[in-house]
Order: sequence, then structure tokens, then C-alpha cells
Amino acid sequence: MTRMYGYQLADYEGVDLSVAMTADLDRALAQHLNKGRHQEDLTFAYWKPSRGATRYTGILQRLNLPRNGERILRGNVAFTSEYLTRVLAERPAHCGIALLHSHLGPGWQGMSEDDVVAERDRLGGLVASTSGLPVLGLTWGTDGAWSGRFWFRSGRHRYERRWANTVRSVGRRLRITYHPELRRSPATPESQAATISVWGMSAQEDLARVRVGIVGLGSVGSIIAEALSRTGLEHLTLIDPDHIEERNLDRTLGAYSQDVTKRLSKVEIAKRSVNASHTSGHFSVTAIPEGVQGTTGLASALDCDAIMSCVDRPWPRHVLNVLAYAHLIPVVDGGILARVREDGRLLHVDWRIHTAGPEHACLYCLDAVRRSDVALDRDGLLDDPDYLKGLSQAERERYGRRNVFAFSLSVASHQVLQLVGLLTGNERVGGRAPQIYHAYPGAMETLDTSTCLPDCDIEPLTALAHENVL
Amino acid sequence: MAPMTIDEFETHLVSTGHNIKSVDAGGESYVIIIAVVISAGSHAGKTCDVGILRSTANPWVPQAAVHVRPHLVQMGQASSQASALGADWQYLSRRFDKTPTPKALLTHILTVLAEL
Repeated sequence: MTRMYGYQLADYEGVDLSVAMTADLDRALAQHLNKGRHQEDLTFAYWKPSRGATRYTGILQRLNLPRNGERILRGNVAFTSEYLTRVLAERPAHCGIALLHSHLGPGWQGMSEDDVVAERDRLGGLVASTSGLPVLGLTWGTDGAWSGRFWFRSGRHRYERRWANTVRSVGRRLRITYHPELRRSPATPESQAATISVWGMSAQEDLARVRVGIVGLGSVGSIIAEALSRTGLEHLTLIDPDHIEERNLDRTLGAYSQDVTKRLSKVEIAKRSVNASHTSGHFSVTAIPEGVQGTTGLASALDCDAIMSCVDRPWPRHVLNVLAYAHLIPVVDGGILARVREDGRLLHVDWRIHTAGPEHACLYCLDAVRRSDVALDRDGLLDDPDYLKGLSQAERERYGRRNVFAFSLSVASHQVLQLVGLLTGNERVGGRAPQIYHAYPGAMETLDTSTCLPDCDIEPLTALAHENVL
Repeated sequence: MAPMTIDEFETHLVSTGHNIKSVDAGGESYVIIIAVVISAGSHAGKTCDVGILRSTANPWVPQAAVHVRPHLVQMGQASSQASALGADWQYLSRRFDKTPTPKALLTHILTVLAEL
């Protein structure tokens, strides 16, 4: 299957295009490109493709800034052939080439004829034949907004532009610039008036257009799906391989006993619920009855801008942890630990909520996932009664998956609030992550941990966009 | 620190004087470390072969197990069970939660053998 490989336009028809970069790189670019009110500037950069089920993302890896004399600055800006030659020669293996330049106005930027000539005519064929990837062009607006496009080959010596729907800057905040036509600002129905009155129209526009994946549609995930659809999000992707069972009914929102009889999948049930509860005018939901440890589930996760991790199994959480860094898709994760005495009485319960991704600590460094648990889960041992019988009491507590609906309500609520904080940059809503709630005495603890440990092997994957995750 | 790959682990094994080979079993691939000397514990002075499940996933999360030949404990004791490598092999279930590096993983293997 060659779709989304190479630079031929035919392989990208109907594909959702996007660009992503770390907030750190975004800041470095702003520093370089912002030359005041009368002077544009440019730079080349290297990028790698991230391929989802329906989305193709160019992930910027590093800049190759111009040296003295390598660009011509006369109000507008042009690169010299010497600069281009150097950039081609220094291209890392498997990387594409991006040209980034600034304009002197705010918002999503169109292109002048000079811009088109530079990207299509000077770079299109040369870069495609050298790298095997399309040219990626980006324009920076004075308000920090980005616009992006790819140039695909549509015929002999012919290259055509396809605009990216989104450009994402990923750090403490997930800042997305949307193409004004391809991802229009949402209508504001009366049903969202109370929500908008709290955090404003601008925040609601950021929230409504983001594509959020919910991985795990059990107790926490089913509540989050309902919350996001009611809040006005227009695009949800639901990922879960399981069917509903009798034992799930005490804590799965929207599930009924007849669903058990019909052996409905959890994603079908959640899809039915959000289709009934959403408040947006252009709502779409994709249901994937597979885990992120499968190729379809993984590809669907790569289509998302942010992911709500609602699985209690270590292996899928490991996969999401890797995606958060390597593919720049931040993950808001939650977990519940209920400890019970041998006589069956509750001893203590904590739940925790945190966000993983660039400028956040990863799930390993937060001790939210352990590598050995990932290995055991991957080998199927966490489903083996004989293996579980041989574990210590403390280990069995960890895998006990004890829960009640009210615990899930609280975790789901705080995960949604952290997502809102991530997308709007409003800590007054999202609070400061990570958070741990101790049910007794009833206190939310906020941790200072915002960076990975020095020997972390996950954070170095940032923006690598590698495909051998599984 | 970039994630360790199985190739880097194998290079480290060779550079520290170990003999290795690859074996396929049960649809999986293993790196076999031949005649590892057990330095301490009830088997001190003996040698055994050690099998480690290979993976090309990045990052590599090592299996929570060390496979040994011959059997070093009575089957079922000390968190042991049958190994996919064959009847003459034994699977020792052992957790490894550190950030995987070649040195840390080899130290873990030698420690598992020394603690029997």
C-alpha cells in the first residue's frame, strides 16, 4: 500500500493534512522570523512524516538557519542557491525539507506570486526528487499563527498546492492554527451559551475544532465522551476493542442491559450516546473497535490532535506515552487506585490526572506506568489467572481495577479540565498538572513534576515520528 | 538519552566478552547469551545459557523474564515456568523497571542468576 508515501498527488487525495512542531521550536522560529514591522525573514527546516489512518502530518524536527549572505533581505526575503545547496547536502536521512518564512500581518496567511514561485518552481521538483517527499511550506503571522501547505506532483513538471487543515505547536499548551475555510469557526448555538459565558468565544473556537481521541470507553472514557460532546467539540475518535459486559453496567455511562444481550462494542455504545448528546452543528464521530496496540487503532490515534487516555492497561498507555512525544500528540491520562482490606472493606483510594507530551513529564517519569507491567501486559500475563495468583498482595492491588462510578466521575471531570487547560492555555480552568486526589482526607495534591528524569528514554523520542512503535 | 535498541544490547554483550547467537522459537526471535558464568548464589561457579526476547519496537521494553538453560530451580518455584524456547529452557519471571540501557540490562540478568 503506497498511499501517503512519496510525493504523488494521487496518493494524498482526501487526506487530512497537518503540520506539527514543538513549542520550543516554535519559539526559536518566532525569535528568528520576527524582524519587526517592515522586514520578512525565512529559514529552511527538516521534517518527517507521521502517517495516520486519514491524516498526514509533517513534523518539524530541526531548523537549518541561514548564514550570512544566504538570503536576500529587502523588506521581503529570498533564499540564495548557495543556501539551498547547503540545506540539501546536510539533509538527514528520511527527512523532508520545509521552507518557513514570515509575513507582516496576523492570522492564517495566503501566498504571494513570489511565494508560490519559490516553493513550487524553485523547490518542488528538486526537493521531491532529492528527498522523496513533498515540499512543505509554512508562513508565520505576526500573532504567532502559522499557515502550512504541501506541494505534490500532479504531472510532468507540475506541482500542486494542498493546504494543511491545521498547524500545531505542542508544549505546555497545544496551540493550533486552523485553516479558515477547511476548518471553519464553529457556529455558536444557544445550547452552548452557558459554556461560552465562562471561558469566552475564542477558547470555545479552539475547543470546538480540535480532534480528540478517547482511548478506552469504559467508566472514565464513556463520561469524557459525553462531556466533550456536550461541551461542543466537533470531532471525536473513539478507540476501544472491548464489548460491554454485565459487570461494566454499574459504571459505564450510556450502557444498558439490552446492550449486553446484543454484545455491543463499547465504542458503538459511546457513539450512540454522543450522537444524541452533542451540541455542535457539525458533529462527527469515528468509532474504532480495536486497541491502540493494533495497527488500525494506532493509525486512528495518529489522526488525533490530543488524546484522552482512559485505559487502565499498561501496554496501551505505553503506546500513548510514545505517541505523545514522537508524534507530538499530547495525552491527558488518569488512573484510579482503590486499596481494599482482605475483609473487603475499602482502605484508601487515590486518583491522579496528568498530561504527557513535550514540556510535560512522561508517564514513566511520573511513575504512572511501569515498564515491567507493560511487558507483562504485552505478553498476556495480566489476563492469566495462574500468573495473577502468584503475585504479591500489593501487585494484585495494582491490577485489581477496582472502581465505582463516582470515582470515575471525578477523574473524568479533571481530565476534561486538563484538556481545556491544554487547549486554551487557561490554567484557571485546567489547574496545574499533575494532580493527585486523596479521597481521605479529601485533598488535591499538585505536583511540581513538569520534566522527565535525566535518564528518561521517552523524551528523546520527541518529534522523531518513527513508525516502529509496536 | 536515546532509547536502547536490541542491536546496541548485542553489541554491548560482544564487547564485554560474551558469545551470542540468535534463535527463533514460537514465532519470536531471541538473543542467546552462551555459557554465562553465575558469580554468586546457590549456583556460583556454574554456567548457563540465557535467552532474551528480541524486539524491534522503539523504545524496546524488555520482557519481564529471563530464559535460562538448564533449569536452575524446580519448575514452579522462584517464579519459574515453562519457556517458549523449549523443554530444556526455563522462564524466570523477573521485573526490570529501570530505563533500559545495555549495561543496566546485563547487570539485571547477572543479578537474577546470582540471587537464585
